[in-house]
Amino acid sequence: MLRSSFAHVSFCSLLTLFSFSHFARAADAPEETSPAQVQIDVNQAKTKKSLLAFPPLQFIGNPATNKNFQAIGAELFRVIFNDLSVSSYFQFISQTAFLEDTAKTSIRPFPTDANGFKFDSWKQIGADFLVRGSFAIAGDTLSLETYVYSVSRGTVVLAKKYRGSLATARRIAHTFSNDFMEGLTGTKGMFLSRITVSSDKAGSKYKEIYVMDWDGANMDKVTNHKSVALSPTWSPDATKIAYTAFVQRAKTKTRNADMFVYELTTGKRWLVSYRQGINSGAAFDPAGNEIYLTLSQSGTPDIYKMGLDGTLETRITNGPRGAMNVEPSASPDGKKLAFSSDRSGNPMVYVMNSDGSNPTRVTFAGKYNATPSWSPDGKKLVFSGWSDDHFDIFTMNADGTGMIRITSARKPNGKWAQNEDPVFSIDGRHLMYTSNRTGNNQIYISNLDGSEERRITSDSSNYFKPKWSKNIE
Amino acid sequence: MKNELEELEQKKLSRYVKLSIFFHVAVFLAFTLKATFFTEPPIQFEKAIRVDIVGLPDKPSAELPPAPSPVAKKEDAKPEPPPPPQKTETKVPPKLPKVLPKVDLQAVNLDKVKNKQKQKQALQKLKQMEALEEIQKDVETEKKKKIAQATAAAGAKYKGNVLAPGTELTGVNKLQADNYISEVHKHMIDSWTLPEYLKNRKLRTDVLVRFDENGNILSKQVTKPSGNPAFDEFVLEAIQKSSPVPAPPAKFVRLSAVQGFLFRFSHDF
Repeated sequence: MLRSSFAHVSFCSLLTLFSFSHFARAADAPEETSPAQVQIDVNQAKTKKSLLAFPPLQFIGNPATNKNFQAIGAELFRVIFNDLSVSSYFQFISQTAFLEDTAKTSIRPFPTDANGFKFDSWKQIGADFLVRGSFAIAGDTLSLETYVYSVSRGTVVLAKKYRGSLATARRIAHTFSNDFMEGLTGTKGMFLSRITVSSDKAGSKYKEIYVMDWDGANMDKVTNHKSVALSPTWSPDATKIAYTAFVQRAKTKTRNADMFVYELTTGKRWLVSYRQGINSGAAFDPAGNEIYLTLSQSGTPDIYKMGLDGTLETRITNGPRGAMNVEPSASPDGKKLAFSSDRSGNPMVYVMNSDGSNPTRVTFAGKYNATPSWSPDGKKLVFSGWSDDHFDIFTMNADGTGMIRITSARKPNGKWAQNEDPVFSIDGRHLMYTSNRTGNNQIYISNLDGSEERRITSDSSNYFKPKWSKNIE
Repeated sequence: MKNELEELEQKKLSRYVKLSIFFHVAVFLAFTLKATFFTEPPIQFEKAIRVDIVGLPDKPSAELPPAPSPVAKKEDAKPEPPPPPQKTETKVPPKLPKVLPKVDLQAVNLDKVKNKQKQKQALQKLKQMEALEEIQKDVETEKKKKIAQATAAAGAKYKGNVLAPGTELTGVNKLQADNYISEVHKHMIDSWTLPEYLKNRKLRTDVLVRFDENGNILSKQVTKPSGNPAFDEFVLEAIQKSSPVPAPPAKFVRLSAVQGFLFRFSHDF
């Protein structure tokens, strides 16, 4: 009897609990909508490129006193045009379709300027955006005035003036492109970023380190070891480059893979790590004061952390015996390291805490996955994976899910091309990697889904392990 | 002599038996002692990693975007029909109409008779009714307070914790409504287009759309803007482009033209 009454009580309390939760839900619901509302979720939009009209830039000044104004105007135009097409947001309207003679109308709209252009003549050809700009040259100073208009709304999206020396014409153009991206999406583009890469440009016997704009312009050679210099990487503030070079030692006359740091702003260069064996695969900590690198001083290669002055701080990986742990890449928040290791037999991508704890294997597909690199938001990894008989680029979430193939290209002889050493751009919208689809190892970029691949370098040299800097402003 | 020999034999045997017992016990003790006092660390079994040799994925072709799964969407859009909100809200009101008309009738009768005393009584009754109503209201507000406390105790809202309101439709009506809603959904998806530069943003705009018996859009009202005016504009453009939507079956015209459908526009990637 007692037991049954107890059961009854507990049943009642359960009931009240249930009804409470019932009420709780009922109280929640009306916040969103009235109770009998039919809700239809419409997601997964189709996407389209916006139609962009970009007439030639107007020259303001006396053509007689500035003989090369046309060349400068054309270069500004070309750089902006290329940046905007790489953004993959736009489809350009052919200049032959324009209804207005843009040489005769000003870069401001009609009511503001008596000689202004009319929005109607751009609406008629379906333009979503109109970019108008003018430039002037005074001595060595170049100034660029730009307006981006939303044609459908008849409003100004962006209005900017830039000034700099003639030599910085490309930078001025890239700066405008970055500002345009920011005006549209809220985040800047990557058009002021640079690439550092190892190349055999100076002769097939040697590999030296080069630095160039992301679009391949302004290439500078920053090493002259007359040796093999490899795996350069940017410091987070893009003032330094760490790289590895096989340099002959004065005393022993032997060559060893030693690590250097080169400071671009001062031209200073110093030896960071010169332990016996390899000193390579540098990756800066996001704070910029430390380097993760691979050392083989203890036999098999392992990952260590080192100060920029060469003081060895900690050993991050230790075994298992005979396994190599290489190619560290620090996550943007500095809390994790991605690396490749053959501890499970085949080389695979692993992620661990930056102190070496909790190593977790994240790739299980394929036979050989290497060179992992983080996206700027720390949510994704890009790596190269051996597929059939060649390397291709893949992206995945940092936990190994959602793997996507980015590349798939054949060489002219019909064989599969090697696509290797991928990295994300600083704005997280692009990927860069090398590919030998033309016969030589050249640099390519693509969108995150692998669409719109573009070749960045076009010569007969080979490029290896490119790394992408932040915007250098 | 024989006896002596036998005795000797027996002595030997007993000695061997004793010895054997002693050794057995010694061995047994040795192992138990070792097991109790000199325990070795337990054997550690490492986690087995299952390794599947899987091929790497193929490159997705640009022409074939992943098809939206209509089944899942339907479930999302229309949860179970009996919505709890009605219950709580309808609980009290039905009682009142039952009582109130009575009073009215009495009042009418009293007017005819013109009996002041009865009028007074009626007035008193009315006052009592009002007092009752107030008490009921108080009770309700307290209930609500309790509920609010309960929800606070139950923790913050998270995905899946919130019961979607659902619809009043049941049975065959619900099936028909489901069909019709999925038709409208498909139709709206067809016109839902975003420019590339807005695609990787987590934005959502809710719009209440009303349409007539022919599917012509009567009104569209943004109930929850995304915070990005351009995104909202493209949402409204998509709705405009979708007009006319599939004509609603006659029995749902009230639903579509008066209550309206709430469209929640977003873009998942």
